[in-house]
Amino acid sequence: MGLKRFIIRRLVEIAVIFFVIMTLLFVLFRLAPGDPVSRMVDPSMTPEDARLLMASMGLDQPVWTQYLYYLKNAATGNLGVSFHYGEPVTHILMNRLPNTILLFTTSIIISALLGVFLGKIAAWKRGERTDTLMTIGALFCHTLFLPWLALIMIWFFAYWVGWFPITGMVSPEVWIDPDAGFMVKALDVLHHMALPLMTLVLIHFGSYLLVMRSSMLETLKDDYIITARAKGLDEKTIRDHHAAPNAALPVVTSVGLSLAFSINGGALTETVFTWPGLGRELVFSVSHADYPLAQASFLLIAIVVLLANLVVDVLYAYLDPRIRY
Amino acid sequence: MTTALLEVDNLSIGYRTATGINLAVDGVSFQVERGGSLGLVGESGCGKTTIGMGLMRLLASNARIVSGQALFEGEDLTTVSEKRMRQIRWRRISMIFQAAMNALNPVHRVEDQIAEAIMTHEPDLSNHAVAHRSKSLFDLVKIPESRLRDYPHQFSGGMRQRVIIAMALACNPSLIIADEPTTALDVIVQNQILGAIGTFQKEMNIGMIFISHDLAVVADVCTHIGVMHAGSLVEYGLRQEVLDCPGHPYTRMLVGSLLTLSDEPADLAGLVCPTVDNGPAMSGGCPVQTNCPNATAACLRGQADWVALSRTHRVRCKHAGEQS
Repeated sequence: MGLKRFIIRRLVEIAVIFFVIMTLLFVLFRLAPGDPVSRMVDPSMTPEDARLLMASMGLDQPVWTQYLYYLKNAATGNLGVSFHYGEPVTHILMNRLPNTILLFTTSIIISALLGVFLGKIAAWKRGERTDTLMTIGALFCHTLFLPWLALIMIWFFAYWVGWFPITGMVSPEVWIDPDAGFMVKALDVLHHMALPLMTLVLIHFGSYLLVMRSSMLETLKDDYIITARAKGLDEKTIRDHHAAPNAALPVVTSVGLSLAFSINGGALTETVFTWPGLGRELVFSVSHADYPLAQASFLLIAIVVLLANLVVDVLYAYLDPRIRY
Repeated sequence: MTTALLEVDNLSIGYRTATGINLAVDGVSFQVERGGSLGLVGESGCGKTTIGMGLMRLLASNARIVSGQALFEGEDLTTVSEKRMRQIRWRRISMIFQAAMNALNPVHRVEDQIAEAIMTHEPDLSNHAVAHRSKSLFDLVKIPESRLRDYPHQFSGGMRQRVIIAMALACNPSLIIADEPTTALDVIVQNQILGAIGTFQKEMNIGMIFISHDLAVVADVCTHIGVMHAGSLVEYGLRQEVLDCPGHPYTRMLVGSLLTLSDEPADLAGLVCPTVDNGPAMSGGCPVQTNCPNATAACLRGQADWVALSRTHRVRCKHAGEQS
């Protein structure tokens, strides 16, 4: 099997790319205007205090020294201490990451499954009313402005009907209660997750539906579909067993990439729903020139995107027998 | 005369176009005996594939059978219900497709694709029996059993064609429609495949419609030959009759174009490339008129009636009696 060799080769490539990205990030943030201290100091601070503060963060060192320390620390898994929180950035990120993954991965998987399922049917009923309605619906949802939709969802479901909480990820009283078991806590998170999840699925399922629909229409013209018909198979088997597995391949690529980029979290979604995820942290760290936190956030995104690409390649080999490495 | 396996009578198939229904197959009649083989030859677009697809009721959505009937084992294929048609497909009539096409689904193992055909029509069969049948089919087409677990792309063109043949034989059909099964194969593989098809067809007493643009190939495997042009059958007879004394000018040109070792190369000067608009629906006259060296004014007025040259050999030409 060449698969093992392929993975090893790709991992080496990933390591090289990762190093380049690390360097670029380091340079980019230092080129950006503003420095961390100017955001933290208040006018009453003396220049002496400000210099001490700079020194405590290692910012008085020459840039080259900073860079070498940065590389050395990163190699040992130490990405630094957040200027703002005074906590190791890995703690902060590891704290936020699961929240983002939970919300966005779930939303992408649901959107993709829904999109593939509906796109399959739309293509099968091409030109009929079902197809027209689905295509128009998908385009409509896809073009909605996310923050607007999020606010409408909150207004309707949380404020008007009152089914879901307006903000946050958990209800503090449930988590403080020592008698609350795992199920109770899980249900609490689900309850908070429902609105952002519905919003994200509404926005995203449309693109999967359209990709699946067009891919399926192409597949239905393929010769093996005629073979399947000639074999006397019923229409449902032809659609689900012969056409759909071939048609779904382009969707896999699209899902893989969305999954990868999803870990930067939708900053907008997380802000509107006050979801304690990476996206909000990212925006915060950049706007406050919190170099270690910003660098680490982007590094995390980079590594996930790189690995997700590898996973998609491997998954492709599994789904499409023609692809071997 | 024995009752034929398939009796196609005055079959017409048309495609809906912006200007009305355009007949791709215009009043075609022929029979296929049990264990007999009919070769349908004609150039691209003459309607031969449409006949095959029409008999399987797998026409494109803008095509439909306009008139005529096709009696197969006592049932009219043009009118049976879709449900019954699904039972007939593959179980009674199977097809051999061109291997160069993607006739096999790339994401499924060939074993599963063969098993699917068997299990669809014989759902009571055990998995073991299905696997056993798949193995013996591979034996039959001389592919090692170990290759059953492979995917279509892992086979060469010739082997893939043999897989397709194995699949076509899976349910012991009584009729096989082979649509250009050897096109796009090199001549050596083509010869092997033709040999295999001919052998199975005779040994298993399966009727066959062999569709090809290549008269030489058809002459190799078929007992009967039907020559088509622009949607019409213009000559029909036993292989030897059609090859030795072709009655139709178009057939004479086709036969003349065959390369032989002894004869002088044929003079193809009279052969005009067909134009797209020579469909019978448009001209109204003899479908061959624009290509025919013998065409006269009479040929422009309506199609000729069938002229019987022998008990088994008929030709559709106004000048059929005139030539030597």
